[in-house]
Amino acid sequence: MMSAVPDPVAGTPATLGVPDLTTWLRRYAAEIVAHEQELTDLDAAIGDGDHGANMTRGMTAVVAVLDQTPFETLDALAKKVGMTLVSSVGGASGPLYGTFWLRFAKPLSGLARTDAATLGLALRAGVEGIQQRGKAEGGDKTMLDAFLPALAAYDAAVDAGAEPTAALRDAATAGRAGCAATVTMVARKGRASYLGERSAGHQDPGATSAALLLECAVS
Amino acid sequence: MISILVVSHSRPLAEAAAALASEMVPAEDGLRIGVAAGIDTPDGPAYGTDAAAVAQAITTYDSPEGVLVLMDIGSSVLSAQLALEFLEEEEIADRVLLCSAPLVEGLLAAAVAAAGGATLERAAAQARAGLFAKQYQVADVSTSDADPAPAGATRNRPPASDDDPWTTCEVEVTSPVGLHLRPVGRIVALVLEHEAEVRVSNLDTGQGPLPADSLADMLSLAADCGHRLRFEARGPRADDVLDAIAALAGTGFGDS
Repeated sequence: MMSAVPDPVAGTPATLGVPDLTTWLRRYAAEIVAHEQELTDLDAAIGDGDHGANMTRGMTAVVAVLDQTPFETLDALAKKVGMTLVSSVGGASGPLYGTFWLRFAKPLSGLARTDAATLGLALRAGVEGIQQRGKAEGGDKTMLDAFLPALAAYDAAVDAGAEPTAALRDAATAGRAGCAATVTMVARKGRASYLGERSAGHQDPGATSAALLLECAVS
Repeated sequence: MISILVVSHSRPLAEAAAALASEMVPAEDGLRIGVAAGIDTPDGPAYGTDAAAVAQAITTYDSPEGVLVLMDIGSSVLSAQLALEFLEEEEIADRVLLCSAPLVEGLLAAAVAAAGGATLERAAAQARAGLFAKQYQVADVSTSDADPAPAGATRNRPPASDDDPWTTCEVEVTSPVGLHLRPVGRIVALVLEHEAEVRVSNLDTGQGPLPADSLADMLSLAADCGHRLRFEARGPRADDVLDAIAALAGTGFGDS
């Protein structure tokens, strides 16, 4: 639960803690399973059709870790999530989402809870990790087309004084819009780029799983 | 000697490629070729790559001269790069080289170069040049698109003096299938063992002279049965290496 009510541990609603991140990840795993066929169909149109199965395998492995291991800090949890995805997803989204969570962990080192500004640093580190790993930019029809506008919306909300929940909600809205915008784009990275112009007219599967991730932080 | 790691989505592909490359070099040379390919899932092996497994394999196949990593496409490259990030605080990361060569062609060339004592950089250059040889043979790429200098810039042999005279020997290709991959591998290995500078020309096609210590260049000679090759050598062991090449040619370059 994002802390809409005062959290007895933190004593303030303006933070995100280990239980919140755990809830976020479990919700994401459930949404990935619910959208597996959609992700597979999107990927089959412009890629190799394994994104749904790969993400389901990865997030199922993450849930197994959450069931087995208690985490005391956000960075320990995020690091473990990253390593689990790296070893279980198989496709390119393994090292990409793996890098996201491993980099996300760094600014949160030793923290059981984070405020909105530090969470923003973690999100930025994660997204920049994806950017560096995939050597992609906005407009290339990749997961970055959801993540980059989401990051900008998050930072704008925090600058305006928003708490994590509200800032993440803005991020999710911007991420979904960014994902929708990939429909008209021509892919310049990944397997879809082999299709050239024919990749236009299809929503990017990576941007779709990224938009889902952001939405699961709040809904 | 450097070792080589094959990273691929497919474990059978990686294992078969490694086995093929091992055929190119004498077992007693002790070249180690590792495989980090496919992933293990609850339902059994699947296509994919695992950066943690790649990092583990790099550690397993570490050697003082370094580890050359050859990859197929997509997540193989991403996982290998992430594996290096996992190792970045360890000394080993300084002697790992990710190579952009095409997997199979590159692996064969790298194996021959590595077994011949090539440095990491030189083996990588040979691997990248593996594509050039095929481009030349198939002739579907204009010369300007192909790599113009496949490996020459990076050889680690002490250069012979430009004043040294060239010694020459001419041999004939007698194998009905021409000078194919394995005989070429044997010639390159011989040349690498000696300290002489060796170049070779195909007298029937006019191709060359090309460096005889490069698998890619040797293959681009496209020497068929009956073609005459001129080997030229210079340096302290020029006569030795030409004698060895002549002896090898007498056995059909090891094929008969």
